[in-house]
Amino acid sequence: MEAKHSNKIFLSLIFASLVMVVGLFFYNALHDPANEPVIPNIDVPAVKAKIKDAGLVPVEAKYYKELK
Amino acid sequence: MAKPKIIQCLLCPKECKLYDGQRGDCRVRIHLDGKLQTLVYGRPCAVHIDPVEKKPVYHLLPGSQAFSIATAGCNLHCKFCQNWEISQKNPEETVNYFMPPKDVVNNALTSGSKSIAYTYSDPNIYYEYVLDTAKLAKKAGLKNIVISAGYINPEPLKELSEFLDVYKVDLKAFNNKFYQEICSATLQPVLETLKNLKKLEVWTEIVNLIIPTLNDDFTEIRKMCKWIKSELGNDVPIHFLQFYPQYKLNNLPPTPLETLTGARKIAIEEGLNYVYLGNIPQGEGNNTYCPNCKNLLIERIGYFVKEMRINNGLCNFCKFKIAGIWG
Repeated sequence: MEAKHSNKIFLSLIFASLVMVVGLFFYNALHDPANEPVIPNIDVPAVKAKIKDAGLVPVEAKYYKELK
Repeated sequence: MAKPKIIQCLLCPKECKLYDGQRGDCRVRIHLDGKLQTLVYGRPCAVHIDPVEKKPVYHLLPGSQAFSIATAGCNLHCKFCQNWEISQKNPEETVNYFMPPKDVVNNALTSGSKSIAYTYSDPNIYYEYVLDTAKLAKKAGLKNIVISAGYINPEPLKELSEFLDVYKVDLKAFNNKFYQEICSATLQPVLETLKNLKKLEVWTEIVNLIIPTLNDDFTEIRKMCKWIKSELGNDVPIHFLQFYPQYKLNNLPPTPLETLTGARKIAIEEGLNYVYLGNIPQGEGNNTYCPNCKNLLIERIGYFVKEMRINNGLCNFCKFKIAGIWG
């Protein structure tokens, strides 16, 4: 009975490992990091300070939209 | 964590997607506080008075002066740019004047200029400044000239066109690979701009800088001339310009005169009426000839007009209507 139980656990582990390996294989094959949006690490207050120091005054532009 | 806001600029075909604090490929349009903002409104870094022939624009008030302005930045990155010291810089890196639209118009009038030319870098990227200045200039009786690569989306072009008299397009090559590798852009949107300008009835002149080994193939030049004739008509002037080594293309020689005269011959063979050579001080390629009687109508030496034989837009000899804006 105990041997049967440990067999079940062993098979489950093998099955889980297989799922992980296959999953990783497909993830790597289909996922291109170059297509992932990279959120740039921008220090916005520093950008604003630099613009102000240069004597530039931002004015709202035309022709843009917010992406949802 | 809240998803950061992304703004998409819709001014030019690049349609940059920007996070807060990030600026577009043009260097002057930036996402700040949830809005797209321009950094160069009323802040030109170049202000000059030029002969209109220097643009080159040959069919608008010959011999007149154009009050010319530019800001930093550009949406293209041409390896042969002659104004790269401003076009490939952020506005924080250039010395800028404070000149709001009404001051541009007043200065143009005071200087005796007949037109305002938005030039040197690419006016598409300082669009709002051009638009507001052009509105005031039109009211004041000045002509508006845009000197551009034509890399702009149709909707903003349409809005601006109401106030424009001339749009000079740099057609860099008739070859998408050239646009991608040398200019960081693509050909098709430029062709769309040219077709839209025709629909919008804005006087258009085309410039094609011929660079040895890169866009000097005569088959390609013939293809371009055929396209111009079939899509835009044979009255659109084309200026073939001589290349001089500069910026990132210092390794190439100046365009040989034979290449330029060869290109001119092809354009004339294909039926284009007004074919010019630029950056060449004197010669047939500088002059305007009547397409009907072939007489010399405008004789130019460099940027200066020596003789003008057009009256009320008509050839002095045969009264043929010469396309352009003459008064």
